[in-house]
Amino acid sequence: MKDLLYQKLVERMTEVAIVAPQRVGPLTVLYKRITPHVKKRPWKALFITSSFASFFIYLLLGSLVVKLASLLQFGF
Amino acid sequence: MSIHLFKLFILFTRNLATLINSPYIAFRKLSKGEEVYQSIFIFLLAFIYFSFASAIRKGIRNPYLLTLELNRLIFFAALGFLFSILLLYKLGKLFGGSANLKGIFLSWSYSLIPTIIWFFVTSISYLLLPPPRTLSAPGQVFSLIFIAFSLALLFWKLVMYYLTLRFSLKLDLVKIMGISLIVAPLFGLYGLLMYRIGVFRIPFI
Repeated sequence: MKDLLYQKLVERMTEVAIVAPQRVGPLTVLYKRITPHVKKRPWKALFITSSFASFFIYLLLGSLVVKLASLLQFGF
Repeated sequence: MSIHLFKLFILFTRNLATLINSPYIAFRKLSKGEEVYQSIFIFLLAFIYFSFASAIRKGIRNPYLLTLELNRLIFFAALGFLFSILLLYKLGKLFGGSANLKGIFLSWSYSLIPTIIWFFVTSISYLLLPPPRTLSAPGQVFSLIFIAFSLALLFWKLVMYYLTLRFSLKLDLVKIMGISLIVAPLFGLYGLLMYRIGVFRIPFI
């Protein structure tokens, strides 16, 4: 039992250490603030981001949004 | 054989659930490239979509045209899929990544899920609410919702693309951005080619 737990711990630590921690120079702090929202239950962040982006596109394009949606609907 | 298939199906559903709730954990597992055959369920979903899309595009009266359309979609989608994997593999090696072809294959297969979802929902919305949309209030509301939905799936796809390169090729963000500068125009060209030959208006990547 003890060995199994230790083995699982080693496996987990090996899994986590597949890649080195991400460093993006001065933007690392921003990166570390954004990624937790993508790591766990990203659909919350995706929903909020896409809603805001869609609204922003509406502000930018106005009624052309309707044409864009029609084009996308033909897209399949 | 059936037990092995059932085991793969359980693995597929577990990975799918993990992908939706914790994509980082899912891609860490997928990047190892173990049990590659679980991707058969994703290809099965793609096949179901292509059958559905062929029926909508060509109608069901002429079986010959239906088969032709289905084969065309499958062929070019498979070509695009293999092209993507090879491209990411080669570029990953070029940028100093430790390439694992099975890992890339499995990760990229799972990244087809938002693509399949989008194509399915778009084709169903084409049947239920045929375009073009009008400038009326419901038309604008539906347009906003549809664009938000498309953007959500696009962002999810981009996250999966990033995780494919991060864990399968063990690259950092800077190298991933470098690869993306090469990959994006090539995918754009692929999309344009598919549009020109009348296979996909939006590329099935």
